[in-house]
Amino acid sequence: MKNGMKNRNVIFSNWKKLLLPVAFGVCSAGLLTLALLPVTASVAAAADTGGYHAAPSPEALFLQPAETEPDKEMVDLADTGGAPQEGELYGTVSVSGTAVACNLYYGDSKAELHAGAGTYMGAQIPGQNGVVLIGGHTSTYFRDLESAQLGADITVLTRYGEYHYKIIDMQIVEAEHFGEAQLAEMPPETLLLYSCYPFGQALLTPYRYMIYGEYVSGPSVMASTEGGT
Amino acid sequence: MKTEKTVSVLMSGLLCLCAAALGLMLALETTLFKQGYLAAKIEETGYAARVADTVRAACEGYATDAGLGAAVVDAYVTQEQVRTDIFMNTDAHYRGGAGSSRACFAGLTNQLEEIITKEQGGALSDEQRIQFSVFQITCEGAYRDAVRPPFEMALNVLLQYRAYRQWVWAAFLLLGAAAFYLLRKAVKDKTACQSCLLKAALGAALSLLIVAAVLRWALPYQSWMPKENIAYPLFCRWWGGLPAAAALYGGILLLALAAFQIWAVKHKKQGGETAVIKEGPEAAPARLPEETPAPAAQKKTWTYRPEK
Repeated sequence: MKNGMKNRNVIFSNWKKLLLPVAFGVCSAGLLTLALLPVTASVAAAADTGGYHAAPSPEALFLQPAETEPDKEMVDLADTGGAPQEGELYGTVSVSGTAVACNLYYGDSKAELHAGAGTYMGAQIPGQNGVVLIGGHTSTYFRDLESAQLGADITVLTRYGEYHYKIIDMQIVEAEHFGEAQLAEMPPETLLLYSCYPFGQALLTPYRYMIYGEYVSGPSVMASTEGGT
Repeated sequence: MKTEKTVSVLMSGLLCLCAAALGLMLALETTLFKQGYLAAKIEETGYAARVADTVRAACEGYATDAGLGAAVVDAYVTQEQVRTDIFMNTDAHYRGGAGSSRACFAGLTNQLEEIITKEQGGALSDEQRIQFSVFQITCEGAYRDAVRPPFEMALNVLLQYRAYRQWVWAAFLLLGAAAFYLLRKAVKDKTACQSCLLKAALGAALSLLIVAAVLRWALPYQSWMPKENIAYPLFCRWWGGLPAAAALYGGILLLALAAFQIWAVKHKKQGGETAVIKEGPEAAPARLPEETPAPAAQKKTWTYRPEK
């Protein structure tokens, strides 16, 4: 009996020695997992939009008549869920000939740009006959903007219509010299894609890479339902 | 005494965290951050062959839609060329540049012109020439998109974090060194200090195994990418290497600790026996025979006997 008690005490003492290392292990694992969560969330969001997708069939390219004025259909935002709200995922944006293809959010705060491209709320949304500003991080979703060529197609697919723009210019500008005054001088239905410059920087830089897109096709938003800005 | 115990526990915990973090960084360095690792996975999963088949099928579709024979584009897309372009673009991506691919359909328009001119017996019309150019540009665009680095956006995100890895390594190494110094200062006894370090190492090994299990089973990485994406098998194999590496390093640390314990116990036993042998002569030094004491001098006692 005495030997049994002694063995039990020895076993208990051995298990007690393991308590602290197990506690250390669990706490460290918890902290490391918490540190990894934002990384894995970013990778997960990016993986959803990554990968090869076959280009659209050239059937439209062969059948499309040259130099015709596209018919502008009208769309009522109320029929498609109303005007986009801040933080809302309302479409996708892609640039042909590049790997830029990601979700499009309304608003350009940290949260939106972390998950895709963001629409500047001080300007317009596609179809409102104004200037549309769409920005993205050059370290993530807009990394391949540098591969964009003049004449390439920018497709903005929203929940209320599909818009196409043709790249007509690319510029590097100083961020502090680009503001409301420059936006006011632009022709209507111009699309601006922008990101930090040089490419691939994780931190904010003083320069912006701007791609100017000329409107090609897409429905007009009815004036009575304009809003969201 | 209480302060010493508190400090030793805290510093051991901090050492455990630093060791686990460094183990995780090592796992990242040998897997996701390593270009050679992605290249190996591309070869293993046959990604280049799948891309070649997919882009060839897409271009054959374009040719059929345009009223040309599907076989027109076969000679322009080879598996070897696709593989080379993918590796070139991936390499450029890891170095921070934007890769480019060869214009592999460069001679397509001329070839089509020759074929049609031969069949028609006359020169091409401007409209036909424009259509062939558009067809060539579309095939070029499809090829260029296909040979980009696999899951480029996800890779972008990861490489962004990779840019700061030196700082993370330095921070945890410094923190670990500081914790070790404070531990040694607080715990003077060598055996007690060793015990603290062993507990920290064991905790770190367990932590790595737990993190590996979380990465493998708790995070649903198999559902991050749509299954129909041709890069899906590659992505799963690529990301799956991280939990495997973390588990491996945790396992190696555990084995090392076990081996050290076995060696320590064996060393202690051997040391004990040696001590017994060594202590024998010392414990029982040869004793000189006791000297026979000189016979005590007879003490004469005088008794006074008075005369009768």
